[in-house]
Amino acid sequence: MFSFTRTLGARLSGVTARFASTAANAAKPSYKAPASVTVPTQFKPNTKGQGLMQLIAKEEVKRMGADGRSKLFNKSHPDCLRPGDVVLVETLNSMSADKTSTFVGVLIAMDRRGLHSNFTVRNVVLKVGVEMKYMLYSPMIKSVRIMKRGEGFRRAKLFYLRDNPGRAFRLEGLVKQDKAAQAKKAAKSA
Amino acid sequence: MASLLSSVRAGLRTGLPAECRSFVTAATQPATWTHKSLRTGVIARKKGMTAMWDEWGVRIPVTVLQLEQCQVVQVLNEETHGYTALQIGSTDRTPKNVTVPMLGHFAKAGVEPKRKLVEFEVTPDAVLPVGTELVASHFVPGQFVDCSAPTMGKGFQGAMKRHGFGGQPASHGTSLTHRSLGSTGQRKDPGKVFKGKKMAGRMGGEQATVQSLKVMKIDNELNLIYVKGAVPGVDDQFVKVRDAIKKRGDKIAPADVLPLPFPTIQPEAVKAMPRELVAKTGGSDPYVMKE
Repeated sequence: MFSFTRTLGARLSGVTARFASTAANAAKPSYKAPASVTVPTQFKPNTKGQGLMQLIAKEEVKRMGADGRSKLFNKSHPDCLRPGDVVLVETLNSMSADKTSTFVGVLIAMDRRGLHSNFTVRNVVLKVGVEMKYMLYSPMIKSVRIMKRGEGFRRAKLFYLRDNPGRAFRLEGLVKQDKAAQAKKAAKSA
Repeated sequence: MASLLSSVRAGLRTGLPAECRSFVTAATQPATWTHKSLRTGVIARKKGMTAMWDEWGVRIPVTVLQLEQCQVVQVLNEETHGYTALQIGSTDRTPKNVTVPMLGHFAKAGVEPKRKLVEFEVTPDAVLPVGTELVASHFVPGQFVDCSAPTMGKGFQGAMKRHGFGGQPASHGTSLTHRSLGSTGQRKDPGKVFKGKKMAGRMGGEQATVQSLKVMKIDNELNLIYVKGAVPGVDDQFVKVRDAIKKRGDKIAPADVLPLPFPTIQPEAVKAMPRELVAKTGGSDPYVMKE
């Protein structure tokens, strides 16, 4: 019968000695990210009390929501979006240029899915109904502004507005008002 | 017999401690990569899928693969085995649940007993010593990998789902055979149904390889590899990950991250790296109209 207890200590010391000599001789290596690699904001992982996927999702939300956009979906925050609000979403046309596109409409749906949270905005543009779905944590979204709070909407999803819009999409007046207010603000600050 | 078993298990419980496990250094001479070199793959566990946004603002679905105590358990060489390969083991297991022959196999290597053992054929210059731990930084962000795993089981499925058959019309007189195979052969000649005729049967649960998946992100602390796209199988599945065979030489990764760590990444290089590294998609902005 041969013994399974092997003298691993001796084996390892030989290896570590070799390692030590090379480490002592070589300079401490530093890492410089090449052009095709980005180093994102680093967090310290805390795996206690949650699974791996929950942890990395939370970290990604923290990273992508660094500008505070998580408050738009946080029910306990006063600036939270609510279905029925008239919102103005400003999106970048591309990441390489500063040009933006604007879309105004009624918020008809909000889906809370962590990193994949999204909301749908509906408007009638030149007699054509248009719905835009935005991913909350997309880097292409520059800003989301509430132009008017919704009143009297008693549902979480306002899909009935597709068939029964009522006066919900009469938003030209609001847009004009907002433009004037923005211009005034710009003039004041200038 | 019982005393032998208990002494074996006691001996192995005092085996390789966690701190010593990591980073047994490679050969005395640093190996140099040649275009004929083939380095080892790793065993990872599929943890799930999520999404990330690249530098152009494009949303990319990614699969998260985690390396769990991935170590070299055996080196197979030309003289003894007829080919050169590394047997990689993944995920530690309590010795009480391991058979005695397998305990001996792991003891010979000086590693903790593992759940999964897989062989990766390598060239002789890419051989690693027994006990070397493979980490996520064995792969670099931006390189292409092949992932192999058993596919999700679909149970007993009909020919339409299993082989993509067309079925029969939904109406115009078709009676009770809308999803059936139809004909299975000719008439008197050959007078039989050929072996391997595609029919209904159990679908899924077979090994499938998805090729040329891009590594989008590496996490050094949690030992994660994020690959773009989907990987076969269920969550917590063991997945064989290796360098893409259809991307030879310079095509395997962007020029500034080449050469790939050969035969595997050095421990001090990993310590110097930040925790997370993300690959850029590169190319031109897809949201800008090309002139």
